Amino acid sequence: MSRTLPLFLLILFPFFLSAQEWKTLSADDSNLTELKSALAKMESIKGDIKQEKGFSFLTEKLISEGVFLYQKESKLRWEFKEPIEYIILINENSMRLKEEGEEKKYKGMNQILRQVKEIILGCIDGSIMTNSNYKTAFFANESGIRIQLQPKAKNLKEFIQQIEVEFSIEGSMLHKVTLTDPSGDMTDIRFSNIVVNEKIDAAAFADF
Amino acid sequence: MRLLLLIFSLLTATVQAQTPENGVEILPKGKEAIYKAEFKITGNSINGFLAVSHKRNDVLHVSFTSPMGNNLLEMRWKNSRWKKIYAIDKLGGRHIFGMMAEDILLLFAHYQYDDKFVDLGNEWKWNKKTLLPVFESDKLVSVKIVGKRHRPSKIVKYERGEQEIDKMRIDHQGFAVSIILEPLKKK
Repeated sequence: MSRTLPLFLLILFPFFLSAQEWKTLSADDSNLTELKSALAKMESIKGDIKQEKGFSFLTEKLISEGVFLYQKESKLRWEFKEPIEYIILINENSMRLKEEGEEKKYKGMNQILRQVKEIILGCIDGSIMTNSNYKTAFFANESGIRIQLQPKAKNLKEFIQQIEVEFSIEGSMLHKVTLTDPSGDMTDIRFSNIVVNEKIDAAAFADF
Repeated sequence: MRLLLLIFSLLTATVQAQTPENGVEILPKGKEAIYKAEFKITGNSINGFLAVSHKRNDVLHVSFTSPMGNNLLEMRWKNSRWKKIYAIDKLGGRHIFGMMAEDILLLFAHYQYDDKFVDLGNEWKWNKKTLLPVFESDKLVSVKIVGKRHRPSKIVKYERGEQEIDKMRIDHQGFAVSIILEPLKKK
């Protein structure tokens, strides 16, 4: 018995793997239609964020933690509390930034900030799925939907190589975003304790 | 006899250059660290993180990343020269890249692994500059960098805690450029 059990598990192992395998979806797949419809009904979202940045040459990871608040249309408060205080406030067309207690106005960094805004908002409200600036591929497994995006334009490619957005099938919740730098380094952003359609004080988007 | 003494002193200097003193090590060989980083350039400041690895073969690998996690600059110092691996347009220009590259070598006192580094005791010579180190309790606390015109061009300062460096900074003199690094405390 003791000899047959490992053999039995070894035979079953590929089946466990296939259960987690990501299968390609077509753009008009019903899973995607349901996801878009669920996201369209979300008036507000809030939750916790945990960002893990890996470096190819380092064993240690850079971990940042905080919260995010989203209100339709285009209102976002993205706030890291650790290891540094960093707040991005997006209110319609305006975007403000606070670092370590000081509001920043970067000259010449507007293009990067615009792209950050487009990526974050697009991942939260799902609009990135139909953003023509990206080549898109869709995948699904038993528990989630993954959207893989690769920028088409040269200026975007300089900034990011690939974005992967994962939503859970149950509840259509944003689960994880993985950003791949042009250098190949990856940043995972995991979302937890998500609350949908709960009233958020407008002041959260108006000022730091 | 004088010639022999000169040869002996030169030999001593060479040996010292190859075996850095413990008090000079900022990030010892084989170690890595992530620092909270602030780059101040003519009135603007950019916050982010500097990830640094000092490999056993003296290679120094550095990456400056934004708080959102995207790389802004990555470079590697090997065989006495920097290789730019990645830089956004704003940081990739020859002048700014060269300045940041030299400042990082100065901050981490990594010049001591360069063949051109010469230890003359109270002062060091490197990259056509004179470096004036100050030690407290056998630990390096500051280095004044004197350029061609015999004026200090940069000053590096180390604030030391009980066991490790709490903060380090390099300030350019007469030019509003500074880099300030604070190691992230491991939880």
